[in-house]
Amino acid sequence: MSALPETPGTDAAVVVPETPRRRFLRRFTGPWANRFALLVLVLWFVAAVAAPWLAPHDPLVQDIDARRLAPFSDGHLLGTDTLGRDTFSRLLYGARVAGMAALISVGVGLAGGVVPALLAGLLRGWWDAVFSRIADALLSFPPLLLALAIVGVMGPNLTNAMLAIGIVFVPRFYRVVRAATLSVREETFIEASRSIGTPTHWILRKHVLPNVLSPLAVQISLAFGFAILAESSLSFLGLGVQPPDPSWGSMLSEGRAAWFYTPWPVIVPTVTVVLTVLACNVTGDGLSDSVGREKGRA
Amino acid sequence: MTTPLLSVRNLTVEFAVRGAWQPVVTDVSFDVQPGQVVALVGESGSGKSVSCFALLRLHGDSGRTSSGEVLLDGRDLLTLSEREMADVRGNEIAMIFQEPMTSLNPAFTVGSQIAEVVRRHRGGSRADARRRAIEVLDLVGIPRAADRFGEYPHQFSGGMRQRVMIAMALATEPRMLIADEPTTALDVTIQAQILDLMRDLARDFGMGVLLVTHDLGVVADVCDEVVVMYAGQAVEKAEVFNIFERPRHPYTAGLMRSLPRVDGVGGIEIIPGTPPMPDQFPVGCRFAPRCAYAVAACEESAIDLQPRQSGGEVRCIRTDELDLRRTTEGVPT
Amino acid sequence: MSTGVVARRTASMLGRRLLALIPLLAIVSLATFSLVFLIPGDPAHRIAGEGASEAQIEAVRSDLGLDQPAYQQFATFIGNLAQGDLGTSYTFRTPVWDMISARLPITVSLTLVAMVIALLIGIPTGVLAARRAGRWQDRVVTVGSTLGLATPNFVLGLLLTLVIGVKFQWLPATGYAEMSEGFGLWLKHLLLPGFALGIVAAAEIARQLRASLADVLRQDYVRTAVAKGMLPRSVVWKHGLKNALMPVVTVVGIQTGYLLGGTAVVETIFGIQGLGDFAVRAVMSGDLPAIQGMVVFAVLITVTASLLVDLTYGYLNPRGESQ
Repeated sequence: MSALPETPGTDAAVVVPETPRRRFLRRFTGPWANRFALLVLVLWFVAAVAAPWLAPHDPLVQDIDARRLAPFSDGHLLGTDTLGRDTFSRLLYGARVAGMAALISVGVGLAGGVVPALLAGLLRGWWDAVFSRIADALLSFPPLLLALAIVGVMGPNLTNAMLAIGIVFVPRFYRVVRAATLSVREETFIEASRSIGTPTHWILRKHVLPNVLSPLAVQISLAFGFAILAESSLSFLGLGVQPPDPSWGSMLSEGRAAWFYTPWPVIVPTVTVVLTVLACNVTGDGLSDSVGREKGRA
Repeated sequence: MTTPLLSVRNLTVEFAVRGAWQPVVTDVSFDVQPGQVVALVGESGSGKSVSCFALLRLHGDSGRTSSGEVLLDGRDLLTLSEREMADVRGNEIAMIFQEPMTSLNPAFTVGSQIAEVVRRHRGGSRADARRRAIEVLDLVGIPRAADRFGEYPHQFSGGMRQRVMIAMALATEPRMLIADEPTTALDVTIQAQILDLMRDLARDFGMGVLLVTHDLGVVADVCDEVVVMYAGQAVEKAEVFNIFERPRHPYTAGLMRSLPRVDGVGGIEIIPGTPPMPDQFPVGCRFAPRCAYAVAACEESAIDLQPRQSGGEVRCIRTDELDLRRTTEGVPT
Repeated sequence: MSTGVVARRTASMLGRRLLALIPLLAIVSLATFSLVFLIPGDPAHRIAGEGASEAQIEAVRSDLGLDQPAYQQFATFIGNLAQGDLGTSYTFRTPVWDMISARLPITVSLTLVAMVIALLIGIPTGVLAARRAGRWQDRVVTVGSTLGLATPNFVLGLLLTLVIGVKFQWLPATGYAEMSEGFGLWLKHLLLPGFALGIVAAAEIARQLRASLADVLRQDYVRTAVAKGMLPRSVVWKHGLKNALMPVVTVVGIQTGYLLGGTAVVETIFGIQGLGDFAVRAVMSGDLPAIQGMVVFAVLITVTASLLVDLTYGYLNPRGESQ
């Protein structure tokens, strides 16, 4: 009754309509947390891709004369661990492992989740019933335990760990894509398109895909965060990356015994894992805030 | 004259609009006597709801009462501590709201919501509170009150929910009831029942009622005194009979012309334009931009509320020159 | 009488949920059984472990019926499962059921303590953030919960045991004490691991509660509660919270599964010999019956948790609308 809702930007005489892409970019890059998250993700990407060129040392080579060095000493930017391996180089290669884990597991999740979801959403009926029951059943497995079980039967190594994490994602991607497909399907224009004989692949590309993409993007960024968590947890337990290969998780478990004497090999991967997962989660939240209708945040 | 039950003196309420404090209600004064129903009338945005929220200090952080007094039996509510104010709310002054559908908590039974206010202000056992709740549910005309005590709000119709709200307000026998558009969301027959109920309760229990409405038809049915508000100011105050016989302010007259006529003669006229926003109040008469009778002098400086010999007060410099009766044959008798 | 209505509706809802469990459990048991087909190469070889003799491998093969056709293996698996026979662990040389039932109380204790810690942290901070929406307290809670969500529990567990357990020795760094040895001792051992395990759930609860309560506090019925003289404490914690708790209950249900998974890591760090530790050992050695038993059990626990969540919905939302 008293305050009118504010209408920003109405004072401009001519308002050029903003394309959806630009509006998304403006909203996503607005908050500093989102920009920071993007920066972390870019650094992670660069480290993962360019680890062999960026790493000053071989991550596996032990140097008995250079053990437990503090950061910035003797060409070791972040010091060395108890075996004299360069922490910075191991961190870079760990980024590579984490990146591969995230890519492969999300890839497995997408491959296993998206197609059944599109079928279920578009065809409904029998397909929907069967796939949805399977997804429900998969969801009732505690995520990390499901991954553990799969690693257990297939044997502990990085590839199996990634596959296992990917299977955890399948029902989650399935749910998101199915819901989005169903809601698009309810829209009348799809019915209209179908009635005039538009081919299914056209409907998929023109109508379903754009609507599925934004909720899926949100899920994918959150899945990246979970993949890093899961990979580092499994590697920490010795069920992922096998020693002496570096992973953020295994660096932590190797460094913990000597933590009081050489904290750096523990602190560095700790901060890295937290920051990277944080960046994935913040990006996911930022994406879900930036797509769809403009709404005020409380 | 007896001392008023509730006396609002020079109340000014400000709200934060685009980062600046803007007066939404300016210098409003009125009295409510025991057993009297006073109407606060105006279009939406006139500040009438804000005024009554300010009486109970219910406006959130975005609003503040910058000056004035709200005297309940001579005690200024605006100087009370938060805790003391909470003891007044629902106990000495109760309030009911416009939206019966959303004003009751969906997660609790209606009975427990009434019993809660009884126990809050009167103490006593659960059984006593329950008995009292059933009593007031019965009083406001809810059939099978004892059975319905344990039902949830979604099991009641809109009219019945407003009765529950009234029952809740009456449960502690407050001396003052504030009703903010209590019938707006209800259909016409239910509206009349609710208004009659409030009228009877005021008479039977000597309760003062402040009724906020935009509907002059409602005013004619149940009220004793009328305060017409426009753009945050009281523009006319009068007894209900006088105001219907001869409105003194062009805005009051305009509101009346927008009512359907009892005798069916003539059409409904709507006042052209919309009320100004708080940060755009005119310097002079705030109604002048929409007033058919406005002259240059109206817009020059602020207009005072002037008492009239016939009783009542009017905020219009031309009131003596104008005859604002609808038509001679149209005067309600 | 209407509480009777609510109870009846809850009962019928529960009936439908139990009915829906049948296909779910069928698929879960099929999936659990099918784990055997994921074993690369000869399953008997992997299960028997490295360096097992031909005779031992053959023994595993005939023991598990791996030489029989798949449908017959499945029938045997289901038959045994129905009788509560989960097979015998090859690592521990003990029936899986005995292993699990011995370790279950430990993991249930840990999970419960973690959940209680999560609620004790998550609810007050969520309420604080909602009441102070947009102010500094809100921002602190938001940043804190974002950080909490991003901290793997092995990282937090490691820091807690190293700093509080080993360095300052305020609480035991490792181990577990039965409740029969004293409640205080039991709790002392579970505080650090419970905190490490529960912090993610706490963050999620705080986030969800802040969002839903901030919305609820803007509702008309909250204004009604203030207008009838209820004190702020009652307005927020009674009228507000009961309406805002649904998403929190959902989170609690979902997080139960994550907590169970987290016990694998946390129990390893804190040297607690519960189900999580059992799972890790079983996984290390490819002990198929133990892995299958653990999966079946974990699913039973999460399914029970989600049933409890549904029951709570009926109480919180008398209208009985689904979310």
